[in-house]
Parts: sequence; C-alpha cells; structure tokens
Amino acid sequence: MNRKSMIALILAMVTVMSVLAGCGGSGGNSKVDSSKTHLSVLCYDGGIGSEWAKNAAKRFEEKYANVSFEEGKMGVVIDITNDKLDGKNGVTTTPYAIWFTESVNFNELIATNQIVDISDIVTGSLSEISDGADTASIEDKLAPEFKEALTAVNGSYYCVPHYEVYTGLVYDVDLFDEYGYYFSESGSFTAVAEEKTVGPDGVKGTKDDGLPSSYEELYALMDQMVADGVVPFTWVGSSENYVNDLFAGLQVAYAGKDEFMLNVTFDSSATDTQATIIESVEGDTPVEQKVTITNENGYLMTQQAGRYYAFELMEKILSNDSYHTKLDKSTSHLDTQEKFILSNLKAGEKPIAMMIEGTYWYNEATEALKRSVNTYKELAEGRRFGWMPLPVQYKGSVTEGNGRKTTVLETLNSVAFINAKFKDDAAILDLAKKFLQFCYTDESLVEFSVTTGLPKCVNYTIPEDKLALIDNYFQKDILDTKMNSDVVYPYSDNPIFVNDQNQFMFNQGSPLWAASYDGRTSTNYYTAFKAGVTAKDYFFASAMDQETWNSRYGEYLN
Amino acid sequence: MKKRNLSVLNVSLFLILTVYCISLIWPLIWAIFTSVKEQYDFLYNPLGLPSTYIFENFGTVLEKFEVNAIVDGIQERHGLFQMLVDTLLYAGGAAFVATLVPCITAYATAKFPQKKMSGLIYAIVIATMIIPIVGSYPAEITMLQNLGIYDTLLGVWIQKANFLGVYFLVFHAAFRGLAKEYSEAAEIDGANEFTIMSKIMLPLVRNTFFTVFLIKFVEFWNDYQVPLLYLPSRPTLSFGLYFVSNYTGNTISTVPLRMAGCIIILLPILALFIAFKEKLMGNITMGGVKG
Amino acid sequence: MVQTRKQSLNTSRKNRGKTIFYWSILAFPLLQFVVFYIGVNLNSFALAFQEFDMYDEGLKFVGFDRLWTNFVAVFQEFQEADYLLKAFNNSIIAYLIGLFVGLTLALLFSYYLYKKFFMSKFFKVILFLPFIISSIILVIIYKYFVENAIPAFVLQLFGTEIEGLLSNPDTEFVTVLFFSIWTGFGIQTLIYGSAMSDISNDIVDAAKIDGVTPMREFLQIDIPIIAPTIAVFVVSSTATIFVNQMNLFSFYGADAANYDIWTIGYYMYQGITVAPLADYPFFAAFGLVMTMITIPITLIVRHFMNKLDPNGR
Repeated sequence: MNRKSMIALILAMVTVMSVLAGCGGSGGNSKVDSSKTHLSVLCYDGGIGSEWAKNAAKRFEEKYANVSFEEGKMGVVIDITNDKLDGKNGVTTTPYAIWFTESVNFNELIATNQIVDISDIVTGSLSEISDGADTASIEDKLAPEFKEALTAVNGSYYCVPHYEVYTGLVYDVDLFDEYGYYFSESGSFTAVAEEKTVGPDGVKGTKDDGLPSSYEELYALMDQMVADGVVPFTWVGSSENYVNDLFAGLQVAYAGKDEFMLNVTFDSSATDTQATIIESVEGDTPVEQKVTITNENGYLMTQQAGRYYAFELMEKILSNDSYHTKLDKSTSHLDTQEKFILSNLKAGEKPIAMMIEGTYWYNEATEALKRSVNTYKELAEGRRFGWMPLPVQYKGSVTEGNGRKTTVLETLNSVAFINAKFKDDAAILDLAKKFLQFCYTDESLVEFSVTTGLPKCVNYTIPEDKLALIDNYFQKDILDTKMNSDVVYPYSDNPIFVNDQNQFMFNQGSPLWAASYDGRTSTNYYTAFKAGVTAKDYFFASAMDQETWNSRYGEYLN
Repeated sequence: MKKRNLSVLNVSLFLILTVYCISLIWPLIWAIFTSVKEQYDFLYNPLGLPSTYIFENFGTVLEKFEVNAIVDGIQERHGLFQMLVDTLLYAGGAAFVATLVPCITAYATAKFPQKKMSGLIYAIVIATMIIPIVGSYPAEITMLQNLGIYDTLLGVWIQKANFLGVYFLVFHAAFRGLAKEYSEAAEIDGANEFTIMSKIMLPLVRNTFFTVFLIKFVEFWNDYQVPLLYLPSRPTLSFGLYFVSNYTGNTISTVPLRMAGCIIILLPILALFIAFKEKLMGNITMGGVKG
Repeated sequence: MVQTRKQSLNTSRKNRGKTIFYWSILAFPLLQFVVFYIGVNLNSFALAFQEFDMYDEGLKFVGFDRLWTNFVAVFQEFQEADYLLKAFNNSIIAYLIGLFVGLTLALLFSYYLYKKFFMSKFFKVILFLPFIISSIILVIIYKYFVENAIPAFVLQLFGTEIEGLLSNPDTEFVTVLFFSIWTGFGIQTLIYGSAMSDISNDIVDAAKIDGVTPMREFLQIDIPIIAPTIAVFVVSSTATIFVNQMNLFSFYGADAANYDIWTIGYYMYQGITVAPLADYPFFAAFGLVMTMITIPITLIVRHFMNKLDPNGR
C-alpha cells in the first residue's frame, strides 16, 4: 500500500464512520410521543419477564389518558426497560425513574442518597389510585419485619418489596404418584391417599401428606429411589452456589419462622423463642440444646441445629454419585431444567425425582417445556411439578397435630424504588409515585401473580377465579405456598444486620452462614464434602467463635 | 528440503505444534457440528456427530438474534444488522484511535528524546503497566457523564485514545530505528514538522500501523464489556452474544443456537483475518524496556 | 564558520516550530491521560482512605487518626482468611508457570516459524486463532471438552469413569491454568518470530560455518538478540501478576465457588462486582497494597531482564 492509498483508506474510513454514526442507534427517537409525559421504568426481567409491567403500564396509561402532568402535555407513556442492575454502581447516573429489581442492599442506597423518601405513598391509602377499590395502604400489606427493616436507618420508607422467591426443591409430582413415593402410616411407601402419613405439617389431607417429614424419612426415600433406578437429585452444575438454594431452604424449614428470624434479629425476647443449637455430638447423635439469643451471643446461630442437619444431608448427597445426576460444569441452568423435564419422558433415561432450584425456574424453562410438548405430545402435556415442603424433624415421623406449617424463605432481596435524580422534578416524581403505588393495589398484585406465576413480597389474597387463570400446576402450587405458609423475610432493624447485611443474606454464595470452614472463609462445604470432610467436622470448624464475633460487631454490643 | 531440518529439536517441535493445532481446531469443528444439531440431540449426545443436520438453526439465529439497546432511557430492540453497524463503528473507530495515539505519541517522543516530557511519557508507559487498576468503572462512568459524552461513540473513542500499553513501545522502537536522514532531508527541503510526520514518517511505519490496527480491531470486535458499560445505546455483536448466553427468557436459549450465533459472529473476523493475514502477522519488533 | 544573524534567527524559528509541533502532538494524549487515567484512578486512590457509614452520609474520609484503617484491615484479612493466601499463591503459580511454560513454548515455536520449517505457514495461522476467536466462545467450547469429551475418552480407553476435569476439585485449578496458557502464547510466538526474522543472516551463516548445532544457535544467538522483545513481555506479565484473573470470570462469572482456584486478580474483580459499597474502600486499599508489592518485583525482574540484553541499550 502506498502513501496515497493509505491516506485514502483513512479518509474513506472516517467518511464511512461519520455516515454510519449518523444513522446509528441514538439518532432515532421516533417512538417518543412528545405530547405525553414519559416515565422511564427499569424492570429486571430474569426469570419473571416484563409482561406484568406492560400490563400495569397499559392500565395506568388508560387511567391517566386525560390527565396532564406537565404543562402542554396530556396523558402518560410508561417506557419499560429490561436491564440487570442492582443500583450498586449508581442509581442517579441512570435515566430510569422507577426501578423494579433484585439483590438490592437498600440501606446502602439510602445512605448514599440514591433513592427518594416515599413514605407518603407507602403509608397513604390506596383508595384514590384504585378508584376506591382498595382502602388499605401499602404499609398495611407489609410484613412486620419489613416495616421494621425498611425504616431502620431514619424512620422513613425509601423502597417497597417487589417479588418473592423461595429456593429449595422442585419435585416431579407425577413421578411421585407413579412410583408411590409417599410414606404410609405403616412405615412403607404408598400411592394411596388414605394411607399417607400426615407429612411435615402434621395435618391430614394437605398436599404434603406422605412427603418426608424428617431427615430420616428423606434418606429412606432417597435410597428407595436409587433402588428403583430413579435419580433423587439434580441441580445446575455450572456453579456450586446452586446447592445453597437447598441449604437455606432446609434450615428455614427445620427452624420455623420465629427461630430462623434470630439469624437477623439476634433477639430471643421479641418472640419469646430460643434457638436450638448443637453443642456436641455423642457417637452419631447430635445433642440439641436451647439457648436464648442476644446481640452478645449471636455467633451461636452458626451452630443452629438446622445447619447441622442440612450439612449432613449435603454430605450424604455429595459423597454418593447415585444420589445425583453427573456433576458437570458445562451444563447451564436451562439445560439442567430441560434434562429434568425430559428425564421422565425420554425412553432409556433415568427419571430424576427432584431438582434444586428457585421458584422462578418455571418461567426460565418456558421454551424447554414447549419443546417437550412438541416432541412428546400428550405425554408431556399438563405435567405436575410441585414445590416440596422440607423436613421439620431429624428422626422419626411427624405425628398428627405435631408438625409445623410449611416455612419458606424469601431469598432474592427484590425491591422497587424511585431514583433520587428526579427528587426535584415535581412532575416526574409525582407520576413515578403514582405508578409505583398503582403497582401495589390488590388488582395489580393479583394481575402480577397471574401473569408471572410468582407472588409479590406483600400480603394479599388471590381469589380462586383468578388462580384458575394459571394453566399449570407448578405456579399454582407456588402461589398456594405463598398464601398458606409462613414466609420468612430475613431482614431486621438490628444495627448488626443493617451495617453488614451482605453477611446475613441467605441467597447464593452468602458468606457468613453458608460457606466457611475452620473459622476462615476457605473451602466451601461443597468442595469439602466432595473431598471427604465430614459434616460434623465441617459444622464445628465453620462455627463462628465469640472472639471473631466481638471483633466484628463489638461496637454494637452492650 | 535441507537436511539440517531433520534435527531432534525440529521433529519434536513439529509434533508438539501438531498436537497444539489439533487441540485448537477440534473445538472449532465441535462448535460447527453442534451448531447444526437439534436441541435434544445435543443434550443427550453433546460430542458425537449430529443425528440430523438442522441448518435452520442459522436462519433462526439470523432472524431472532436481538438485544436490548437503551436509548435515552427507552428500550429498543436491535437486530443483527444494527449490531453489525455499531460493532464496525465501535471497533473501527476505537482501533483507529488506539493505534494513532500511541503512534504519534511515540513519534514525538522518539523524535525529541532530549525533551524532559519524552522521558516522562516513556516512564509513564512502563509504570502504568506495573500498577494494577482496581475496578474503577463507576468513576469512569461519572467522568464520562460529567464530560457529557457518556453513551456516545465519541466518548468511547476518546476513552480508548490513550497512548499506554505495549504498542507505544512497538512504535517507539520503530521510529527510533528509522534512519534520521529521511526527516533531515525533508527539513532541508523546508517542510514543516507536521508535513514530515504525515507525509514521510507515518507512511514509513504503515505496516506496523496496519498490524497494530488489525490487532486492536480484533480485540474491540470481541470486547463486550466496554459496550455493556459505556455504550448501552449501541450494543455490539459480542455484547449480543454475551446477552443471549447470559440472559434467561431468550429465544436463543439452546447451546446449538448459541453456537450458531458464535459462528455467525466469528465468520467476518475470520474472513478479515484470512484476507489480511500477512499484514496481521507482519513485522512487529519491539524496543527494550529501558527508559 | 561563523553563523550569520539570519541563520541563527532561522534556527530559533525552526526550534520554536519544533516546540509547537511537539506540544500540539502531545496535548491530546497527555490530556486524555490526565482525565481518564489519573482522574479516574485518583478516585479509587481516595476510596482507600474512606469508610462507609449506613447511618450517616455514606462514604466519607476516615480521619487522620485512623488514616490506615483500611490497610490494617487488608493485612488482617491476609492473616485471618487463608483463602487469600491461597489466592496469592495461585497468582504466583499462574505467573511462574505462564512465564516458564508459556515463554519456553512461545520461543521454541517462534524459532520453528522463523526457520520456516515444515508447515510453518499453516502453524502461524492456527497460532493466531485463539486471539481471533472471542473468549466467550473458547470458554464454552473448552468447558464442554474437559467436562464431557475427556471423561468419555478415558472411559473408552481405560474403562474407568472419571469426573469432569473442572468438576473434580483436584484438577480444576490445573485445567483453568492450562486454558490460560493454551490460549495465551499465540501472539507472543508471532512477535518473537518476527523479531527473530530481523536477525542478520551473516551472524547465522557464520555460526553455521563454525558448526554450531541448531539448539546452540537458538540458545546462544537467537534468544540473546531478541532479548529486548522478550523483556517487554516478561516485564508486562510481571506487572500484571496480581491483576491476572486467569480467565476465571469467563469461566464462572462472579461466582467461582471453589476458593482453592482463586487468584488475587479474580478476588479483586469479583469483590468489586459483588461486594457492597461498604467494601469498596477495602478493595481500593487492597489494590494499593498489591501495587506496592508488585512494583519492587517488577523492578527487580526488569533489572534482571536488562542484564540479559547484550546490547545494553
């Protein structure tokens, strides 16, 4: 190439660049209807989609079509954007007025002035926004632990809880029915409803009848499955963190709501509940002991009994290949879900009974479910997957009247808030507050659940006729679980929690309670158990001692 | 073939190289075969040959490959063509400035080594190679926003227009190696410094310039992080690939479709590489690391 | 000869022209550097001396009495969290193996290319492939290969069932490290190759007449001549010793749960990605501490590399 052609090339490139730059992305905002006021809404759509937001937006736009929020403009347009942001890298640097997202450390956003005080719409009646249909306030619909935690920093509300997700076990109800994987009063397995045990809740005639109520029963079930050529468990191999989904679920089921809340409140006096901890193990039998938890001995929660039994189950699963599908780090969550769906359809495959997942999996697996129906037709239609209640006892079997209401844990820290960038923009702020409030009327909450198959993180009831609109067993089961279980929201206003919230989160990879060994954050239990460390050793080695606790939280102790 | 070619060293090197090449080509072939598999075929037979060849996978990808672009807070869907345009703009522009700036900086410092700033710049290049940078992209976003160039092509071009890195050393060595007579002859002709640089010296390093440009181009073509963070309104192809493989609820959710996507994105760059392989692998020599 | 007035005027005008040229060329690059390197990183420097308070103002200066508090926390973390020491070791191991295995192979291969031995043109093209192919693709393919293909082969060849190489904690680190070397030395090979092709034929011919074996020629003639080029790579890989995250982010995103395979670079990267704002000051201090460790190591390596350079430039 000679000099001239080089210069020509550069010139040509510059020309092409500038032409292309002109016709490129940011040029055309032809979609913007400037006769209306625009409200930009961020909606993280992983596992939930944004259909719900579009539906709400449509109703809102209709309601306010003839209202002017800005001079010279009439009506509203809600622009919805799907992006995975959690606000950590700044809320005010983004153009979104309202955020609906997950994994949020809201205290941090409040402390950095990223979000707006919305106490007025949280405590104010929804009457006007719902045209009189809903006279409660958003605050009335909040669980008490939310009321305390959301206002912990300075007494005002800055955000409201968004969706609610549990993690634990999905089970193939059809397979359980087919093989008769239900415990009978006589101790064997049965498929006959009348013969089933009362299940973990101790109540006859509920959907958990015959399901393992103790770890002992769960182990027996696992062995029965292996004997039948069924693989008990599968989970996403690409990340060890997925097994934590079950780990947290097990602990909360064993502890129950009040006891589990001690993990974040460190205050036994509030609900008059003691923690059950394991101090020692005699032979193979762990010795349970009741202790009163205060800020001073919060570290004892690392010895909670549920944690011990959960480790024991994990050790059992991980140390025996026949209890799980082949572990494979190249298989994504979508492929894992699809293999779970197909295992009971495809000839020659070992059926898989249970999958460790979050309640959102069904939305992620939409395409896989469609494919299975396309291929296996009626065999794959109307399949029943359920949300498995987990054991509440270590040994034996729960007897009638002695069980515990199903207890589940919200794990995604999902909230909605308004961007502080708009705190002085009266028109947008007013509009944003209205739309946010609009999303929490009973009508919107029910619509959300019917659209997504997931609950919102507030109290409301879904009427039978609306529930009937959901066309699959799993999502109905989740909404049923929401309405008929104790849901634990692991938040509190204890300064220890407020200042170090990330340490006390129970979702994937939570640092303090889930993955430490030898008093140090070293080998996680997954790797340790695979390498032959016993649950007992791991449990005691990973418990926190008083010295460490004091050095971290000394300033909050009396 | 000459006889000395058959030493133990050569033969063993040949064998190692062959194994290495197989290990690189094999996965590519695997990707090609996977891209024409049916999803169930892939799930239960991830390694073998396809039981049926589904070439429609490519059509599906071409049709459905879409990403979210966020333009002024409003979401748009961008298809493959728009992504291709934005990729060319981003990679082309950024590669050009990321080659030009080190080149002229190296020229000025190599031409005037007696100036104190020349020594300082050389030292800065070495020093910044040593100092690891703790993730500071929130600060970078704030900086771009304060300058009013966040989420603009101009912004990312300016961001990439730094003289740091190993290619400064490459150009520095090249200019220092060039015979002084070229420019001295021109000076006697009465040409000014800008003319000497643009008309005489830059053309002399055009091969190196072009090679560095292509290397940078490939680098930016495959980069999804910068577009992800700094250019949300113009998602590029690599970002698109990242997007479809990391976001759930996508129509391109199976591994065969993703592989087809990979191959579609790989093809242009492979073509470019084959067309310019002599240039790309041309002569780059580097200076030492002494200040 | 005595300079005339006119000539000296000319010279000074010419010098002024040169100065104008010099500064106008450098104005933009220097400004860019000040804004986008110094400006941006000053903030991360300042962060190392800040702390986060949930109840008051968010990030603020720690105060002179507790100036080093974040740095103390870094050293405490090193004492308490043995996974950090492990990550430190892994970074060193990755660096040393990358240096010795990667560099050795790159030099040998470039010698092969330089001598234009059998099929060297073809090899040249293939060596460049990992650079051309986006790392996402390579990682996906490699994962399938080591998790599925290798166990299948072992089963077929030896009849024993083994775990995937990434699933098995014992082989996970080696597998990831192998990947970074496997895809890492192509460019080096090409650049060493072209540096070697600049070696004067006279030297090589003279050596041949003296009956020097290819091995000796390679070790005693070729390598010393391209030493400056080698030095660039050795020094820059030393400089990035604690930045190198060994592609772990491509493999696992922010949740590589097996701490045994972490490097310091990954620890920092994932820390910044997932940690709360309250931990940013810690990571900023951590980065500075790592810089302080890196600088002397790099200077020593650079000094050593310069000694190897026979030209002593």
